[in-house]
Amino acid sequence: MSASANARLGEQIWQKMPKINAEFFTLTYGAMVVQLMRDLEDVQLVNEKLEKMGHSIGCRLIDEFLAKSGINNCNEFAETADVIAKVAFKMFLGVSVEVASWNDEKTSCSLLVYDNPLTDFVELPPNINLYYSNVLCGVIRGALEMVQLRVECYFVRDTLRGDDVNEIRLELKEHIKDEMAEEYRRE
Amino acid sequence: MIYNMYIFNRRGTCVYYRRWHGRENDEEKQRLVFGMLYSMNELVGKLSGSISKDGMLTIKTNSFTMHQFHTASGTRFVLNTDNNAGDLRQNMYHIYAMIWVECVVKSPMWSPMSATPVDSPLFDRQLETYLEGLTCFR
Amino acid sequence: MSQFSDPDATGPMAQGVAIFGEFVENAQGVTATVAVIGKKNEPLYLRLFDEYQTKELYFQSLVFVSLDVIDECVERKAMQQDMYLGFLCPIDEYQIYGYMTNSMIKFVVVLADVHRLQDFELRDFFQKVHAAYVEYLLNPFAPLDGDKIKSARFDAAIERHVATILERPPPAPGPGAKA
Repeated sequence: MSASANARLGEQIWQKMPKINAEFFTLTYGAMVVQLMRDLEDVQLVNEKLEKMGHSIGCRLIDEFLAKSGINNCNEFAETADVIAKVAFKMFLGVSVEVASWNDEKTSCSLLVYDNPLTDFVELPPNINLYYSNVLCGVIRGALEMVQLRVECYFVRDTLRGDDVNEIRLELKEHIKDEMAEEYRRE
Repeated sequence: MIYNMYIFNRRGTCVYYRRWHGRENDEEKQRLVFGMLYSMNELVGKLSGSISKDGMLTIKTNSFTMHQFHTASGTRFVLNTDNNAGDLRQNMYHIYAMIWVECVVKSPMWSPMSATPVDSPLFDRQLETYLEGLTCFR
Repeated sequence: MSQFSDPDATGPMAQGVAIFGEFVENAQGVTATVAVIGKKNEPLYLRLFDEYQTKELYFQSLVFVSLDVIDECVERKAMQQDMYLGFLCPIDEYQIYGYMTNSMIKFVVVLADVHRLQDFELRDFFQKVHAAYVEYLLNPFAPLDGDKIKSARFDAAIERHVATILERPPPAPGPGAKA
């Protein structure tokens, strides 16, 4: 599917998706992050926790995504990245994301998120190594794991830290092989 | 006529089984069904050079037809019917998108890799209502 | 003694200025101070502009004096649903305007007599500052227990609204006006 077709599809599904109040959503997420900071007292742990929470969201969200989008198969990783950027981000967050900076092997790229609804109103306390929106990385990793792609996903630039754009690096590590349950291995 | 339905997770564990008509199946049969579908998918891929993009696979024998819908996330929906059911592509997709995702996947208690059978009265009810409404049900 | 200070004096401060009547020289802007005061009358934010910055304590005391006026004003206006309190009082050569939210957060500006501002302009200014304050509070990291407002974004919003609403250049000076 071509890039612009994905953008159209994303727009189309976005129209049909149920919406919630953006402030409610942003405040809920903010309250959760702040609570995590209080409970864990270590920013690095908070980053990891957010990623983990994202991972379990992603594992579920993938089915919602496949069901609503009708997409069932991507031939190559470049297509996957484009679908995430143009369809998935649009569908769940209402924003469009750009794919950029591919490496030569076409296994890693950057997702440029110009408008991150999670960070409306947010101002980080000074000198803090928090990746506020790290949940997004987890969601992407979890969702792709369910379609047999092992990826690493991390923030490179973050507008909350003064960068001009949010950049999430997405690196394909391997295609996961099907692994059968116990009962098939006995034979 | 719809005989029965299986739902397998990616690892081949049968997480849902319901029978409406035909004979009762035991666990051994479930494994055979999955094993056959798994090999069939591989074989089809090798014979035709590509696996069907929409995840559908239909196997027709003299006495029954097996419809498989395989999502990219690894879940397999299998519906066994008699030979008069016709093309159930739309219906299988509906079961996945409108019933499975809504009633099971969105439940916070469900986990995608879990091997425990799905126990959701909501899913049971909605699936039954939907299937009974199909002309090929009886 | 402040009553002896002459608002029109342009000479050095030593001339007839005492305890309260602190005269700021060379002040260009109309806005001296913008302050946010919390529910329990604790100062949340005090921002002085340009030349007025040299007299922080003085303007701080002006703001606190105005709180009493706000209390009276609120009693008088208790039945009205208007958050804009309007002109509170003149002190020395300054005029103080106030605004109070239903959650008892007070916004106060101290204005110098550089040019007259209309009520609707102040109303507009306060509403925008109020909105900026609400947005500041929506930051999940903002403290809720009456700590001072430390936010670059809030600072920027105040600066912007002061510059665009309060500090607008006076409407075309008459032909007789001398530079």
